[in-house]
Amino acid sequence: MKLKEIKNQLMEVHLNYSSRNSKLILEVLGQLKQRAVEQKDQDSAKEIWCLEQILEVQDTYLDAYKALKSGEYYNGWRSLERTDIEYTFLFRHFKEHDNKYWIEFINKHTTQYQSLFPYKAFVSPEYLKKEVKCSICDQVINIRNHCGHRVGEIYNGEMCTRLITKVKLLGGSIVTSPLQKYSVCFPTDPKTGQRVDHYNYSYVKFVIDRLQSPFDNWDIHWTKKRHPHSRYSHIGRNDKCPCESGRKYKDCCLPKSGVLRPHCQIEFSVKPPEGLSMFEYTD
Amino acid sequence: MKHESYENVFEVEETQESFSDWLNKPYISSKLRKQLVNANLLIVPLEGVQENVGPVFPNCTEELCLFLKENATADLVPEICIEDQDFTELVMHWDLFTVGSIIVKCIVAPFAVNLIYDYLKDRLGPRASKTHVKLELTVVQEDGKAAHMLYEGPSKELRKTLLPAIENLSKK
Repeated sequence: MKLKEIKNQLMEVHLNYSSRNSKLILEVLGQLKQRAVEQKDQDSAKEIWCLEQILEVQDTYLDAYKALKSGEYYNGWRSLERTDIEYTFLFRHFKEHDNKYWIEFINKHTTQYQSLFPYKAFVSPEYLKKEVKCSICDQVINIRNHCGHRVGEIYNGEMCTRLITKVKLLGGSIVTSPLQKYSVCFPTDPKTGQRVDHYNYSYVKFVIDRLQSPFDNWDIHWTKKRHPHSRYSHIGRNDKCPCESGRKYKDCCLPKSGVLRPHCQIEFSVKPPEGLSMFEYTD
Repeated sequence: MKHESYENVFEVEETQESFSDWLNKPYISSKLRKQLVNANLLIVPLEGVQENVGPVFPNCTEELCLFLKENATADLVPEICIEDQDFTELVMHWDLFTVGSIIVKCIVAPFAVNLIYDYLKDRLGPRASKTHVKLELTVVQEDGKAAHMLYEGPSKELRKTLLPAIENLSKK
């Protein structure tokens, strides 16, 4: 397999995603990169790193799609977070923003999928970095006698990162806007000790059920709309308003034509499978 | 997942803070003090984060420090107010990007703000437009008067918020 063929495979991911051999592509890229490094050809080594990264972005996005299709929503969420992180690594080095590798498409849809999830609480640690090493030269980072390798830059076809080798944990918190979004809060069943997934994934399910390919385009628009009072007949006049304003129902939305709730409008560019409704009410 | 939106904050207050306050901290040796005295921009630590935790810097200060040193012209002399062996970064749990606390002489402050803005663009990449940042900047004038500026808001608004405030300060 030659570099040109690999580029073609990456460009045609929307056609070959279910049959391509990512492991083989990665292996060949690794060999080509090694050769470039041996020849001290830093530009080629960096270009190959970009291709490896494009493959990673595409594969993690496909993993997310597969997981969501099979109803494994949390796994899908984790893959989306990975896709987002890998895209961030690639962004500063990737000059071809014409979407020929579907990268911009993936980035846009990753954000859209994330916006559909119900997660609001995350566990997040707070810690001190007591010893940090450079991933390129393995030197302990010293603020004045710096090794000179910049985080995020590519050296010999590898991205420079920091390896935290010693930490002091100060605490953990439950937060709504975490640094990383993997650590979603789930309750545990006290009898079995197993995680209980109590979240309502109806928005995610609505979209994923109507897609036939991970590369079908769809758009989302978040607005607010008044929903009929009949859907809130179980709410008392003196209860808190279901619009979550904090005011009493009778003093807030009850006198109005409906309850003001977030409204999600989704547009599909490919017709969804027959038999699926185009509307869904959720709370 | 709906992201909580941070509130935008921009406050300017007079302060007694000075370069010598930082140079005379007990954790700065006389040898380092001689080096820091030439600086007109100091990245300064957070103190009293927790009991038994010394001065610390926000996550990514290493990158900020390197960026400022690599990109400063001869007029700007950036330094960090800590001994090498005491440099420690604190990783917080929220996604607000804390640039840190900086004390800078008024004459070079506009250049420093432009550099910090460039650093954020480089560091945050595709997230630059949607990331909220926090910066505490103390600007010291020639007569020793100083203003403490607290900025919490979108990274893309940082420059156009801080530069006019610094210009106003110079006029006074």
